[in-house]
Amino acid sequence: MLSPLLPKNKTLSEMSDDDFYDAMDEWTLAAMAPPYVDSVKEVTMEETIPAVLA
Amino acid sequence: MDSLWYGHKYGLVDDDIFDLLWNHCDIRLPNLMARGGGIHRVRHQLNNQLKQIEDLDIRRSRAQQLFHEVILNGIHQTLAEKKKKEKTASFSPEEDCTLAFRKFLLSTSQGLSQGWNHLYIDDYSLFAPWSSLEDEQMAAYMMRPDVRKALHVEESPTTTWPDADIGFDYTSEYRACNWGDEIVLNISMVDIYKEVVPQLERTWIYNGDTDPCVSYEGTRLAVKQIGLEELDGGSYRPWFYNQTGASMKVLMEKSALFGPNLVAQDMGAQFAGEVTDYEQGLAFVTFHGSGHMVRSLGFLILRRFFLFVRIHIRSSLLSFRPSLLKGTSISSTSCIGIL
Repeated sequence: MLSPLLPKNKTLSEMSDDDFYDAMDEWTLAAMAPPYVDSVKEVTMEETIPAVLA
Repeated sequence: MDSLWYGHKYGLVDDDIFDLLWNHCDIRLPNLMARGGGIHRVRHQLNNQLKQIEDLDIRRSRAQQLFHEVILNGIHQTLAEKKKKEKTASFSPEEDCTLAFRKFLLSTSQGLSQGWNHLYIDDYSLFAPWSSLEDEQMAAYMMRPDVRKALHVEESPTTTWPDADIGFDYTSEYRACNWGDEIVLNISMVDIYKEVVPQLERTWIYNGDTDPCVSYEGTRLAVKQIGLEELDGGSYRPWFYNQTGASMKVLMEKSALFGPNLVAQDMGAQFAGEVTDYEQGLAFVTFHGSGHMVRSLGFLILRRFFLFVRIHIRSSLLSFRPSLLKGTSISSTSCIGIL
């Protein structure tokens, strides 16, 4: 599966706004992580253009 | 730009979800600017509250939160009104529209949000990789003491960029993206161009074509409102540039969004955008693949553009600005730029 399933329709429509936004954050982070995406290393600014910080 | 319409147009929203939200739920999500300034407007309106929050990240997060409360409140009101009118056995506006709207948010990086912590689509450039690195790099550069000195802002009371220090506020001076504020001078950039263009040999007003927030559509309409006749044969037509290969050094060092279409190979003549020519040397130009900040996203195209720019400002212009502006400065909220 390329991406995790969304919460079921009934769950999605009945949760509060706050719960929905939490669920959206949680689902998005899950979809960006293993096993859907290979483990990735976060790139920092220092690694890209050190001269900017000179 | 309406983010629901735009998201559907670019394949981010399912047809059935779009049809339900657009045609049955009457959901409209216009441009953040058109909505009243979006997060910038919320931050301004609630400045007294927000400026008490010293941590800039927390302040930005609170401004984003307030903005979404405005959006959601508006949508809930729309749904409540529809529920009274249209509830049937097969269509329950509140439940069906809420579900569809939440699916829309889930599939569109929270409605092409610019402030969501987990955004994965950059609406400044839909097909470029998302990254905040170039913003961080630019901020670090702009706050360097030598850069502040070069910009003559060493004595400025604010030391942070792009967000200003606590206590920052601004006054709207011109009728340009000011969303109903009391305006000091009731003139817009269109009025200014009407006066400037006849005094210049050539005026090119440009906009990138990929940023739906500060879109070419508004600039194109504004240029038409200057009221000059289109040249016969000068109608909307493509222009091209020679895309030469970028060095591996540049490709390795640049931010992902600095010239996202840069490649190592020479690509020859490539589509650069569209151009329309008007009388008195006025032209409207788009930069393909660039946001409104053309200089970063459309780097190679811009370089070609400037190779051919020769603008001769007549001496009469020198007396134009002081007499018109009477000691005020050009509004930082103007939507179109002049070369």
